[in-house]
Amino acid sequence: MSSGSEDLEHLISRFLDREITARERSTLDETIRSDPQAARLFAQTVELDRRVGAALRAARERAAAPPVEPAGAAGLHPPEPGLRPRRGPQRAVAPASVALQRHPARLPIRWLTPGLACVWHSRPRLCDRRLPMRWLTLGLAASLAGLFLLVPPQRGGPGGRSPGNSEGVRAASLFAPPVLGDAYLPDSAAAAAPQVRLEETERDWLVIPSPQPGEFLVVEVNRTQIRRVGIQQDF
Amino acid sequence: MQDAPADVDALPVLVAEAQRGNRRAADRLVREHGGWVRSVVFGVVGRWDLVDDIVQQVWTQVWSRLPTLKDPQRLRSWLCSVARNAAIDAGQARQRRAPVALEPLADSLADESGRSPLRTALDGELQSTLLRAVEALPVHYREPFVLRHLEDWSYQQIGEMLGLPVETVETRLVRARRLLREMLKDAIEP
Repeated sequence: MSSGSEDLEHLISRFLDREITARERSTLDETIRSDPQAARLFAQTVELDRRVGAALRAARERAAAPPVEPAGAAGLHPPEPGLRPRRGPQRAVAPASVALQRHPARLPIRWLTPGLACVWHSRPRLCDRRLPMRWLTLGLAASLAGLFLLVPPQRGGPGGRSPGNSEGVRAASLFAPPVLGDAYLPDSAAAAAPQVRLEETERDWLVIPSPQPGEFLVVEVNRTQIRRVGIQQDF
Repeated sequence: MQDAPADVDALPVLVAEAQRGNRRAADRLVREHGGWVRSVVFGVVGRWDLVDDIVQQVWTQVWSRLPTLKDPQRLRSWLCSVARNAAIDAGQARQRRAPVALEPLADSLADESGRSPLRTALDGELQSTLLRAVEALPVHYREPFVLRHLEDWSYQQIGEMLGLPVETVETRLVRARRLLREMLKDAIEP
């Protein structure tokens, strides 16, 4: 774009923004009078600016929320010291912000197990002491998780130890394969060693389906020996 | 500048009261500055349907950070900074920034019947056409343009709020109008 037309655009813009000086105004008037193209650019820009401005202001009026009463606009005002936030009917709150107004303890409680739901339904006794429900929930969840991890269920293979299993009976958590014992199947010459590639795994065991239906291959990572195992239960 | 407190000397008192948790002072701050805060947010995101939620976040941040404001005279620029940052974060999260469309907006505005944008405008959809053009502006052009039209601020006031020299504000307004003219040249007839 030529510098002349860019200067003209600047003059027109300053005119529209009421930043134009008297000398600039006379220059602009002279240019418009002498150049029809400049006059057309001026008219286009003025009309466009007027319409866009009107559209913006009209859109703002439509989008403007109704006036917020101080007592009803939670979230727009700081909480008064010593007072709990009000939970009365809210005005002028955007739909997405309504979720912020919900009681924080209600949402997760209903998703928990029935055992915890009983705790929730017995909350009048607990609420008498004003216990924070979310902390109680977290504590119960942590206790349950600890039970699973620290007190693993005892499992043993059928028939006691296997003579070929020098490792003996070993308790396993829910996240490790069960004690196999006699579940080991005799090695079959026809069984082909699976092509398993491990890269930087910290697992001790891998369980992968065997080509034979109902059989799984339990691969101990730190050893090269592979045995085929028939597992009768789903773990 | 619109929405400015009539008594500048009262501003430190107002801010100090709001910092102490005075509800009336906080209400007054929201009333006096809520309008232009919305305009600043709209200038960044370009969509009115996003403004309300972002403004809620802005005021939440304002109340939590207000004690850190040491100079009450800088309240407006501080508020503008909080509002812009919140709007930018929201905009980045949505990734709604549209590239500059130097070719006519006609191709994107033609409706299913294949009418031209001029025809669409004549059918009473001019406002939505214009608003979409504003939304399509790059954010650094849209901000001063929106503030100029919605708040009637001068170049200096816009520059102070956005941290820009006056010449830069003027240049960005010129380029915003140029882009709008390119996008809407078939929609607007003088």
